[in-house]
Amino acid sequence: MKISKNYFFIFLLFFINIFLILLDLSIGELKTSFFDIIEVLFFNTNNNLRNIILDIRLPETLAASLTGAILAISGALIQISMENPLASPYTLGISHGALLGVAFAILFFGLSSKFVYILAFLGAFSTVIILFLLNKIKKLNASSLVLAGVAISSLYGAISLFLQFLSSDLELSAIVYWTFGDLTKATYFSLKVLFIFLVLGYIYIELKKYKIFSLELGEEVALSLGIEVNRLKLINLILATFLVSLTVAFFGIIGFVGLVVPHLTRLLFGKEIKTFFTLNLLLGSILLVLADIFSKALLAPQILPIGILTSILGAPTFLYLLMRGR
Amino acid sequence: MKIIKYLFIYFLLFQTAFSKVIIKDIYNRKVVLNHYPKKVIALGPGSLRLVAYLNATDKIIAVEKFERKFMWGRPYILAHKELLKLPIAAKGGPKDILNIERLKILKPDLVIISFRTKYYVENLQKKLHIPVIAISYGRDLTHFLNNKSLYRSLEILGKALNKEKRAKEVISFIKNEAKNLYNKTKNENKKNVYVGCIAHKGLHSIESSYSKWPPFTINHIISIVDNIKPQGGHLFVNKEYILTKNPKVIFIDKSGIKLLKRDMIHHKYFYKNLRAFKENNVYEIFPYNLYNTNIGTALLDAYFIAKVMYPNKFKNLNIEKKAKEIYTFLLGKNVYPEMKKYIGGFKKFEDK
Amino acid sequence: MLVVKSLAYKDILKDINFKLSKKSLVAILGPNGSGKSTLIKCLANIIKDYSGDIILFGKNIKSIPQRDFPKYVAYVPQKSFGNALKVYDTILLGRLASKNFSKPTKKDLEFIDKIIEELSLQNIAYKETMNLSGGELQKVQIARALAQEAKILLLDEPTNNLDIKNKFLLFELLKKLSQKILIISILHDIDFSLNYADYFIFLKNGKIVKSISKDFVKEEDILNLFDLELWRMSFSKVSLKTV
Repeated sequence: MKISKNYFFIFLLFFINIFLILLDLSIGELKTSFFDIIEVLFFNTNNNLRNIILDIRLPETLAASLTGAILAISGALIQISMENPLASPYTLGISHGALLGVAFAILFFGLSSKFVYILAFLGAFSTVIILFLLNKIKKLNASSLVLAGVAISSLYGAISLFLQFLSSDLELSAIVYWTFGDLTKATYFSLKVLFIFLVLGYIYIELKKYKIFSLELGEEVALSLGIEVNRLKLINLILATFLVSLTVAFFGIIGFVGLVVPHLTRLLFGKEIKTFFTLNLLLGSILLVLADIFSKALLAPQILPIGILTSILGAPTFLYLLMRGR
Repeated sequence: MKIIKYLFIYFLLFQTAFSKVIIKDIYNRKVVLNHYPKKVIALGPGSLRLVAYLNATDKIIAVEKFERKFMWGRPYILAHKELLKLPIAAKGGPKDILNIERLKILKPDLVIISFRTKYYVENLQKKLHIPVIAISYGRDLTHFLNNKSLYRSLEILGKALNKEKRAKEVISFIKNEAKNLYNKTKNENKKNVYVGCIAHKGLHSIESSYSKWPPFTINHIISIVDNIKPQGGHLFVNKEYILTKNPKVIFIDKSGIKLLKRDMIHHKYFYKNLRAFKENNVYEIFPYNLYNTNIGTALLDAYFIAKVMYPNKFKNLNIEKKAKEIYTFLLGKNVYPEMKKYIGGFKKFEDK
Repeated sequence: MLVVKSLAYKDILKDINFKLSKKSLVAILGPNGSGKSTLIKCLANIIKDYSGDIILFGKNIKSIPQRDFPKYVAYVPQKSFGNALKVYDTILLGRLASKNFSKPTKKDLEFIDKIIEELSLQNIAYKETMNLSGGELQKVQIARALAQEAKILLLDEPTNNLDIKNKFLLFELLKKLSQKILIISILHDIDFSLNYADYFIFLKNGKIVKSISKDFVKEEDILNLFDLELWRMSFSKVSLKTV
């Protein structure tokens, strides 16, 4: 068994990532060159530019990288666990859940309440908790899991719609506006939280990747291989949902990445168990940093929420994948 | 004999002429009222406000539920709190689905409505069998001086509510106050100013601004975002742009102050290096767009801004007195002290 | 090695009893709907809510922790769908299953290479399984099962997608393997089974009609099993006499 060429690609993607991050950092109102960035970051020159980079640009760029990585690996986990290549982190309805949480916060705690973040997270995460509870009542096999997911998503959608109906126009727009994925909301606190959980999630995945991939062999074979299929799927879904719920709480809804990046990884590098999740993570980061570059450049100096950009790109890409078959 | 006959006929005609009121609403629909209405319902953004400006709120028999929310942004409600005790006519909002039955039960003589299409309004009138008049404020208050739709709506309602004189007075008042500012600042111009935290579909922090903002344009003030969106209107602008342009004076919409203070914790360098914050030239103004435009508040903001930017020209202007003047005229009551209690008055922004 | 006592499941399996103690190739034959797949799935610990006992190497199957199971029993389903995993990785998973999915070592990788060679899968070793033909996919599944190094191999109609040449090769392979492990396979190829299998279990309507070694299989057993008088007429070339 020769050394996989994918290890080379891991290094390649890592450096592309760094390059794009530096490129993203060099885009802004104050004209800076690539080299200015390097000088500022690595040579500790304490000047105006350094402060702008650290205070304004770096949080957004790092948020793009971390969120892209989280969405990519969560998407892969969810696609494998739901045995559905067209699933995404939002298939379980966490966007509706988040909307619900936000609606609650705004309706009961006012338009500028701090509770928005916490309730958005709880709303999003609760979708998978309900799935977990349903499973406790009656064990869900592969197809039941998918159906339960759809049912939960519909339920949350309906409740969310109802709450929107109850709210006034002002509150309604506030609720909807809040959900547009926007990385300019990034703070060092949110970055720290995301980083910690991304690392923990990644460690879990790397330790369990062979087990996780066994799910691809089908429920029966996986069972015969000694895997508690149902339990593993649920743990994966809970982890993935937890991670994405964090990003939704902090930044809003950013579509496209979680659905498409796992497929892109497969198309470019194959689905080699050893390296798939790592490549996936890096590719997700690359993609969202790229999107961030575009969202900054397209309407500058106006802010284009990145969630809108990715959703627009998501539709044709989704169709393309559908046409292609798998 | 003939004279008596003619007098009689003349008298009859006179009567019928007076008993029927024929209005052309904002869509140029002919609306016929059998007599001046005694029971009125005003629906949609801004309708009730205009009735308040015309001092005709005594005719209102029911009110939208939405009017009870965000009172600090509704001077016309603060001036007429008795309206909140009235039964509920509808939920409120520009897309509200009206309960026809409920409206019928309330038995109004006239329904005033805004933010609906001509087709909708005609349909509504057909279903209700009650006259419906559509009004509008126009697209936005980009021109204090030349707001045809707003003035036309005031005239329409003036005629319908037998307050034609009052309507004329309100229109002159607004025009004069605006002209006053415009003329006084005609030979001036100020650049390098910014307004932030503008409420727009929710509350926002400093990135939320407005191009060709009326309280600026009336005072010949050019904002740093005017060139980004020449057609005017709301926009979000990134922090770096604000920092690069470094405006001398920044006005902050009070509705976004909570978010602003939170933002200041996470972006210390940015706020430390904004000239306006460093030199303590950040001022708070009142949000004026809530359920359409609070014209009194908009004018007041414009006056406050004028005083800040042209202190010499407006040396004798006392903003609290001006507030009293404007609100008392428009609404019959000085609501400024109460607004001040809710969200503070006109002042410099202090981060505490 | 394997003892099944009073196994029953819903109305599909009724009172199944048999004992297998030798390394051999066991063929389970029976008409469609007789419960063959269900029986295999019980033995594979996929169906768990049956009544009765299955005893593997003296231990009740229910007392064996799930993660140790692949060391004892390897299962190849009737139909498998290809996916994006490469052949190599698929087989590797079988191996790792017997090691509680610990990290693959050099030995593991060499072992996989060996299996690939044994089953002549070198040409397709790095192809995605969704790009394989039915027969190739079947072989890969068997390779994966073999990689588990389990003592018992359960196969559900393994020759379904194979042409005659590959059927021969598969049966040769199974015969060879049956010297080292117990192989229980559901089969539809009567002719091949009669030539290769050591032991037969005839299943009909959820019950074992007969379980006998190949020396004692008679033509009437097959006829009765499938209710087919016509069998004799339609099946001309391979005669029972070769048994």
